[in-house]
Amino acid sequence: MGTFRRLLRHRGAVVGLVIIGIFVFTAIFAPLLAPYGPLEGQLADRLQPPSAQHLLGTDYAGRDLLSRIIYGARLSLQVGLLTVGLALSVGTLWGAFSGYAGGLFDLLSMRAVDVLLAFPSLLLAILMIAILGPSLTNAMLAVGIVAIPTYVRLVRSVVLSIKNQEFVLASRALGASTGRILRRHIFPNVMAPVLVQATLGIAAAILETAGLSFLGLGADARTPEWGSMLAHNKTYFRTAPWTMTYPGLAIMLVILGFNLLGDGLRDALDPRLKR
Amino acid sequence: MQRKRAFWILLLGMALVLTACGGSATSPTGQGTDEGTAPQTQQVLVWGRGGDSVSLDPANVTDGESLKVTIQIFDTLLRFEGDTTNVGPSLAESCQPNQDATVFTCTLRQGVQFQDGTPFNADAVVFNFDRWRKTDNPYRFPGENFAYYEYMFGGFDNDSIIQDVKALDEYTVQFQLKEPLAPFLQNIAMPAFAIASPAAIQAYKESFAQHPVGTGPFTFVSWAPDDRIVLARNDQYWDTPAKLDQLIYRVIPDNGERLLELQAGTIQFADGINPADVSVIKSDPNLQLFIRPANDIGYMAMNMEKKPFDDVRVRLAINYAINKDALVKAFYGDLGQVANTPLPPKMWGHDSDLKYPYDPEKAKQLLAEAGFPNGFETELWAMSNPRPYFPEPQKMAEAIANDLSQVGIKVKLVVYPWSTYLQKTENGEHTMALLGWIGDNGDPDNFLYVLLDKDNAVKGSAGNIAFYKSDSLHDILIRAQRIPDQKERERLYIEAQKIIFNDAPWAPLVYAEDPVAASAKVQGYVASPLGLEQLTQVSLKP
Amino acid sequence: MTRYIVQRLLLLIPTILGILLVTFLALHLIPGDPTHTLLGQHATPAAQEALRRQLGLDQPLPVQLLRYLETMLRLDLGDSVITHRPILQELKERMPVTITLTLAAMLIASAGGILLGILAAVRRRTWVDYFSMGLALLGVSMPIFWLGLLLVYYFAVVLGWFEPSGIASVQYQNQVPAVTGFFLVDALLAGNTRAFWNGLWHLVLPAVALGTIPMALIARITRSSMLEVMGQDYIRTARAKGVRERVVTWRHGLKNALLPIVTVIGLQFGALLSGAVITESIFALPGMGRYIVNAIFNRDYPAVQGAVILFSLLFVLLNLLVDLLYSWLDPRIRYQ
Repeated sequence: MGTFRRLLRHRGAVVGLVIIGIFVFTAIFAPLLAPYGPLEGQLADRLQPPSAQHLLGTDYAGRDLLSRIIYGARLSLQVGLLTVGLALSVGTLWGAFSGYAGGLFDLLSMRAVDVLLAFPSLLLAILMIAILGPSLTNAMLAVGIVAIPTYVRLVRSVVLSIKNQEFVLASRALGASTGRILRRHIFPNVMAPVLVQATLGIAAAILETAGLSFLGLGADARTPEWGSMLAHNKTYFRTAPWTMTYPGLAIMLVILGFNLLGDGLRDALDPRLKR
Repeated sequence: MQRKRAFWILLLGMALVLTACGGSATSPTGQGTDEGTAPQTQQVLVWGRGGDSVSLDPANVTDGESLKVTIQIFDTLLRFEGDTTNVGPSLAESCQPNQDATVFTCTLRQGVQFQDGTPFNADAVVFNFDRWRKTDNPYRFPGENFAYYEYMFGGFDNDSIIQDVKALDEYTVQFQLKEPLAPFLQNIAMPAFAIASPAAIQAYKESFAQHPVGTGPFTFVSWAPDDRIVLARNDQYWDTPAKLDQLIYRVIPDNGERLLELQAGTIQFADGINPADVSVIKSDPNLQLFIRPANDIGYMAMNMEKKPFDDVRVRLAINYAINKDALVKAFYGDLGQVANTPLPPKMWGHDSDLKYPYDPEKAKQLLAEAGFPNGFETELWAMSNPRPYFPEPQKMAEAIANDLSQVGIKVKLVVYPWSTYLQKTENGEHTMALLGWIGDNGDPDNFLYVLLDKDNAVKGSAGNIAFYKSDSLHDILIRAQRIPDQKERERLYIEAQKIIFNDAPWAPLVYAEDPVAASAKVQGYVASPLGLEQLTQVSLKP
Repeated sequence: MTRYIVQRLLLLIPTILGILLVTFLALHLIPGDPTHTLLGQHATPAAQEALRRQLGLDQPLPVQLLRYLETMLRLDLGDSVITHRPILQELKERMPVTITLTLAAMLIASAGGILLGILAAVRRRTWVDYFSMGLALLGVSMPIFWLGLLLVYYFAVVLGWFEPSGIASVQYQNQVPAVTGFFLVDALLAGNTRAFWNGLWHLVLPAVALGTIPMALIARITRSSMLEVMGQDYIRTARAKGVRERVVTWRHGLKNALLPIVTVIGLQFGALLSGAVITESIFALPGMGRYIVNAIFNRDYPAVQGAVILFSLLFVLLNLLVDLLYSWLDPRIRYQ
């Protein structure tokens, strides 16, 4: 196979992996790395510019921005991974089943997907949060659910294209069960495009959560999630720009990481491009 | 072949747009923001604000964004003067109460015309009041609710405090009340009770709200929803005509963006300024800052129907545990004052002697006495949208939670968007909740009775969400409603504030002043505590 | 072909019905109702009750749904609960703004994206490649509201090159009568070129803010698609025949690489409509996005329903258009 080796030879992918590695490391060891607690601070110290004491300055509640960004790595990675995890698992199963089963089920489920896809995704998310109440969990849930149809479509189309190929038909003729065919033949082929879509989806999920926070529908202001930090510090865009710049840079970096990895993955999984 | 051509056309189109964008960088339109083609002599002022008006029929709205426009188009019988909450003559030259404040007789100004030429007289006044107070009036159209009338005068038809409105002669109107109502004159000065042209209501019917006609200093020109409302000077105005030729209200939803527009010179006024940006305005020589005196209260209500807030010691402890000075300084800068009573400081009857000092030790002691030596866990609710009295409600809630954690009270924050928030808090689903009130008519009754009387501690009404029910307070407030003498009422309200202070149903937090930023060219603007001003005297320096 | 289009349009009906049902149910699941928007803190229980009765909100949900469907059958979307104006009218006023914004953003995104992508592909593994792909990555990683504010601050306030927000300067808006509702078109119809340029000038920053993310995606897909095409045999043949490199790139390369690019552009329209919600509120544009969000917050049920239906209709039709464009670009694809 050599996919992984090809990935390691891809310069962008390596850079992406390193960036993601750093963030994962930060997330795991946040309590050891952060100079202060994420919620620790006094109003008296609010909105201080970067200094020796607070390397990236403080926010409106006098909390150390660096510490919040470090702790935020946990939440923001969680946002990315959980939302995409949700969308991916539900979407893949749904898509694979729909594509494989065909018939009436396929028809109905595709109409349902049409309905979901026809909604502008942000609106659907807003509606869902309006029902559930604004919180980070609900924002993640909404962003995740909204992403499901993309995976359904993607997986279904791959399944459709391989379900009638010789090796699948041969396997079925040899008496393999549906589950076995799905496991042995369908999923491995579905993996590649889904993985690429997922790495890019993580980036999108983080941005969408930030957008929801901008509309007042994301995490509460205490939670050190980057997107909501960016949104909640927007008030100080003029007077304390660092409170937006640094969480913004963190978002950019991590998205850069996932995108680079995604590109690399695509190249590695599709060797045709590498010539 | 055809496809190829289409492709090149597409590319050419793209290139054209690109070059068009680049090309006009040097064209004069790039800079033509201020002067443009309008002649220098035209005085056009653009006011930037956060949201659009709901309707331009003042009797059918309660929101500031609607009323700030209608106040330019319409006049009321009496009006609030300058930067005070005192009432002076407007369409009525004078209004006299009888002995027990149940009959008010108003002498109207003569020679006034509505903008459509209809003469203003006693019949016009009666027409308007009848439309508001009678549900079977033929000029009440579907969707019209006359919410402010119902609120200020107790309801419609037989519930209405105003039982009859009569034209005694062409320029005299008499109001007959069901019971004494001390703040009656304050009430009819509210911009919601503006006199509209009867002819226009008859002509436009349900679309009057899009074609408002009054007697005010500006006439309505056009309304592009969510974008702008254009008004022009009324040259026939009965008082000194406005100096501006055109007054335009533009909707710019984002607070930061609105300030940027002001700095770019495309608008001349911006309200709803982030307190954090006040320093930006002060340091910009092209801008000036006006401050509307506080006529509001931002508070944290404690739901007394829920444990442990039924215990006065707990409520007092919370008042001592919050560092209000730090809170107000951080979130309001110079634009707020620490509150200890429900009445704003500039309002008559305000008691400035009452104070809960910041004293966490005392708070801990009170909590221990109440049986919570280690504190307890509870919720603090906040709205997600900024309100005039809470520019950053969530962040304030956070800071309060922080203070409370110092005395052992662990607080979970609960946040909802405004309309959901109102519904849930008025149903009493909250424990502690942030809320505020903006005065309607400059009368203490509008704060104390509305927000703290047991009459208003009703599920489903957003009045008294502490569900505070005090009979002694109720007696005082009802008595104060019926006495016309202001001195006597003042004494009663001071007494009322003492009762509230000791029972502590709220942690009063802040009296917020409302900043309005303007271009340095603006002159003649006087900021009113009621948050609404007729811009008659405003002009632009060349 | 015609049969295919008719088929697709017929399929729209269940989709729209589904959307309608989902929106209707979702809206009524949201706690709170329009009485709080209309009456605010001055809502007494009696006033709320009266208002609910007036608005028909006291009826059971199925009855409300049937009533709504009935108005729909009359090709009407009902009246706004908040402003009492016909929703069709309200949408008609806002649609042009959103369409102009999305089209402008798409133009910038496609032109910029294809250009960057081709440059990167042709100059593969040089600084040009890295720079343009770096730019593209930067583009996909900034939340619109942040990018928007930064753009306004630097380009409108500090540098003064562009206009901060709105459709056009006030004096031009006053000069141009609304005929089609599209300000730029109306300005041209009125023969007011200054107003036209002014309007175009106002459009630049919001279109850039909204177009950045799709531009980045288009750039990346163009690059990889170009690389794939340029490795094909017929390109080698063309080169071997001595066709000039520029012709190879543009005529043979891009033409064949266009298919996946069109797919991405089509898909991005949906994302653009989402992004419009935020862009319109930062740049004070009175469009559909802001309208829907306000309507959701205000619980203006019929307004949300009407707007969502129109939005999705637009989206579905755009998708159909993209599919048709496919067969036009690649005659091998045939629809039955």
